[in-house]
Amino acid sequence: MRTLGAFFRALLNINTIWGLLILSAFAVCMLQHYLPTTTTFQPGVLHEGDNQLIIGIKGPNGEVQTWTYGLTIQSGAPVIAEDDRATDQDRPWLIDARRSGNGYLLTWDADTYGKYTVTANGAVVRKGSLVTLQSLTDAAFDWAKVGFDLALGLVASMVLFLGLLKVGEKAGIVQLVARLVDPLIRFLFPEIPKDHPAAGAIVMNVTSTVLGLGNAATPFGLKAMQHLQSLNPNREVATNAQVMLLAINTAGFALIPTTLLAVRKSEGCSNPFEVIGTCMVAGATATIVAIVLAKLLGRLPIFSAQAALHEDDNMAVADGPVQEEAR
Amino acid sequence: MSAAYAFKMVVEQISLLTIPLLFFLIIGYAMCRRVKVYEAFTEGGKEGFDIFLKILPYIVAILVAIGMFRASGALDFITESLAPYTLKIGMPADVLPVALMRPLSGSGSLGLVADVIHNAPDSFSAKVASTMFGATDTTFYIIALYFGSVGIRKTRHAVIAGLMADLAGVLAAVWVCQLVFR
Repeated sequence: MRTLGAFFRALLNINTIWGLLILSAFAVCMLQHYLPTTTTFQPGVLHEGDNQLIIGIKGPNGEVQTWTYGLTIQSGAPVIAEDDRATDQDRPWLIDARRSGNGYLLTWDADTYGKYTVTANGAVVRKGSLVTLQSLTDAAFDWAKVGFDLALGLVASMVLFLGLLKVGEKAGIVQLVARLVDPLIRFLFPEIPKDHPAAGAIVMNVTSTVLGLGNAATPFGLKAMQHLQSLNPNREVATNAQVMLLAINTAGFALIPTTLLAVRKSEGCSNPFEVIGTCMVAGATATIVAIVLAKLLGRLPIFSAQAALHEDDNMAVADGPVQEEAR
Repeated sequence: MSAAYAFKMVVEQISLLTIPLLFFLIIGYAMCRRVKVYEAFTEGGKEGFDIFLKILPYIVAILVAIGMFRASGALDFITESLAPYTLKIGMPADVLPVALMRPLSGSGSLGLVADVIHNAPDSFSAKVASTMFGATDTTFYIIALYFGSVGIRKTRHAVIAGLMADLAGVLAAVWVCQLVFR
């Protein structure tokens, strides 16, 4: 029982998930880098004689490039032209074509990566993605840049709303809001002392989320997190209140999914707004589940703060929690 | 004018008013209480940049891992192996990638939703995909951001609670769409 608990805790650990994401990305990438791409042609797509084959690839720079090949079928057996097999030309090359059932199976490969489309005699046969090791390298650098931009983009709204919140705290309005919603806070966050500014920040965070004001919701949420951290005895271990705040935010209930509606409108839905009701029902379900789980799972021994605190005990970590307890 | 459209107009008006009203009420009330508003604002705003330095490593770490995972095409393999089971609960095959991507990447899942809608704007799939996207938020990004900003490394039950909420949102989306649109 204890080993099972330890296993689950290790599996749901952010370190494990993070590591597995990278390891599986590498493994899947290696496979696709060294294995050729296979395209299946259903019966009737290719006919006896000359067939025109087009491979189009939308490369990393967003441009679509297309190449044309000829595929001759002589009494049921496909033949690839010697030119099309050449790997030293700057284009995808065909490796093998053979009969499979009543259809045909083509293997080919390319040096570049991106979304590809295979077209035979004017009809799209298959859409898919080509992956090489280069795509992994590019993704790592690209997304590090995206992360930097996202964090930088937060700074302006952080300054704006943290400033506003400070004015509100000095005037006592945040504490006033906290007192108004006290019963609800008592239920969801029993650890927060009466009239603590954390409650005010939480209310503003949740209100902005519900109204779809993401720019305001994040600063308020991070401020609330900071207030909760000041009530936290172990600075590296999340408290029940912090997990609850996080659960409410990951569920992210909004009355109007603004970005989604914009996409639906631009993609040509005849009634973009018809999903507002279904979004609300599904969103409310997710939020209720998040709140209930945040409440209940925190009581399980494998998720207790004590267990998390001693997680590092069997790992070689120099600055473990031991010194902290001695203090 | 449909009820959904009317509701949207009302909520949009409220959202439009919130921020300006917040400024007006807080600054107005503070001035009545003789708070030095300009000084208080700059004092609070100072913390804004500290947060950037605190969250940067967390955000970059989570986005790089998810970005590499997306680029590898591993999601396609998971989609293919899960598809037979999700069909049984009435989830259209083309919305499964949206469900899997939703907790990992906001922009990624929005792109997938746009693809589904683009292929057939008024199909059942498009409605389910939209509802899935609107039901929850990007779990891993939020965990990195919120816990990263205060330096919490032991997340306890936050990951499982967040992922289970996503799963509940996905299942509820399929169920409610079947009820309403079929």
